[in-house]
Amino acid sequence: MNVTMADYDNALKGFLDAVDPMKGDIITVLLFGSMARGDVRPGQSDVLDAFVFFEPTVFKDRERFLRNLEIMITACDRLAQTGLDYHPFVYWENVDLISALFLPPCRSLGSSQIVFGKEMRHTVDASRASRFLAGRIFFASRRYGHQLVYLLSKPELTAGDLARITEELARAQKTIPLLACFTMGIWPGEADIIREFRQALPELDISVIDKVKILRHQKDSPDPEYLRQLLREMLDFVETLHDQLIVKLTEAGSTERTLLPDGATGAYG
Amino acid sequence: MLFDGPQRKLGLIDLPREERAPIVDTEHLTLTDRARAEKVRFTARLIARLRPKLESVMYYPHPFTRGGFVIVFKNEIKGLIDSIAEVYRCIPPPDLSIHCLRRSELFELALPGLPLLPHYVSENLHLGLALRHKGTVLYGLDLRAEIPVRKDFGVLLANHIEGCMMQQRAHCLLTWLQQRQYLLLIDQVDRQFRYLMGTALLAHDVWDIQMETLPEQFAQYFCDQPVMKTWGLFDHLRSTLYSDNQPDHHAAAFEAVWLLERFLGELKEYTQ
Repeated sequence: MNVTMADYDNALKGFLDAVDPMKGDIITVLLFGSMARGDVRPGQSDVLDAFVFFEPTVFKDRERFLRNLEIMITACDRLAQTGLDYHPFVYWENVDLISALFLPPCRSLGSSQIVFGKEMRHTVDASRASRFLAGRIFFASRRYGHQLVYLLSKPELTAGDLARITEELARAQKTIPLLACFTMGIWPGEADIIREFRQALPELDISVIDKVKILRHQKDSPDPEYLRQLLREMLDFVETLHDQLIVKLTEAGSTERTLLPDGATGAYG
Repeated sequence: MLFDGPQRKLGLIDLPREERAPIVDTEHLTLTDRARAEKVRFTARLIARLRPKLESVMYYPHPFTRGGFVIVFKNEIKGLIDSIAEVYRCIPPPDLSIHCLRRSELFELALPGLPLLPHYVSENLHLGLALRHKGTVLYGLDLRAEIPVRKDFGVLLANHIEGCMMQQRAHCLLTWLQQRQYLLLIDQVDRQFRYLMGTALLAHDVWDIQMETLPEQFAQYFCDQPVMKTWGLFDHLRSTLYSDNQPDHHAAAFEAVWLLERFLGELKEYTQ
């Protein structure tokens, strides 16, 4: 299939047509990701990064909710039929509070678009609990990465291994600098993540982030050994970053006390 | 405290030489014994390869998974990735989680886990408690008390509810409804109900749970809450799923999604 920009535009149009019957119950439809930023790579970018914000009362009324759910499935069917790499959108019941992990795209005017309804990007926020979570997920992400270490010494990398490495490298490139910013209490707009990250940790070598970015834009399949080397660099980068974050947090007081809520008992309990 | 009680049970105490794995007659082992034997062999290989770097090797059972190992390295160990690579060369038992940290990093196990995709279970919420109360020290120091236990139950539950809404709605509920995978979806909804119950029970200091009996344990503490009625409706829906009178899995799947949404909303109100 020869994919063009028009396919993405049609996918969005089809989606908006499909959700039209529930517009009385929707406050906002917010688009984020490559389609909102205008940097779609035809054939590589997926559809559809979007939030559908409903009136909270929809979630209190069984008939209304089920009616809207049927319409959302019709919208998913339309997206699935485009032939583009598709994943469903997120539906949400509170236009004021979202997951803190999504604040950067949802608050950045240049990284998101309101495609229906009320402008809410200046007022949307996240709860304290959600910010607590976002500010600590880096540590679980680091351990998640440890699960990939076996691939460094596996004699023959299969096609599945190579796909997984590519996917995980892309995920790390997108999320690790952001999660590190959250850990340092920095809540950047999407376009400012790397700048803020560099500024907060000027000594850190982040060249692997650029290398993965280049890799993601390559059309040819990369050399398996190069992928393996890049994985090693990314894992080492995350370790160095982890250690620098710990030093930074320790400067502000006890790392455990900074990261854990009051009342946690253990080493100091 | 080297080689105390738990590892004696596993047969590591009599390990004659550090490079020799314990002798196990696999012919006569039950499934449980085989799992235990696998753990023993892995631990023996770990000790043989990594003894100078290791502070502790601990095993934890988990109510939602087969459990896993917490492998603790000494604080002074540089280049943790190389040491973790050695761990994987020791051929860990399949389906068991591996957490590798330095001793000074043990507190990180009490921090939130990743809000993961369907088919994955976040072990984090019960990991520390299961290790502390039901875990075993397979080698080295008993460091179980160094993993903090969180008491901010409202935040734990709020984070779980948010993760469920962010991940399940898009990647499970909408995806499987769109793919007409109705029975798969209902099974996943059932699991999500139980995981949420497990987290809600932590507020009542109930951590020793089992997937099968979770609803009964939950009922003891939440009998007068709206969530119990919602669970009852889902339980009934599920129990009639395979009867002749319930051929319409489409309607049942949509109803299951509604009930999960209602349960999430009611639990959210409970945390507030």
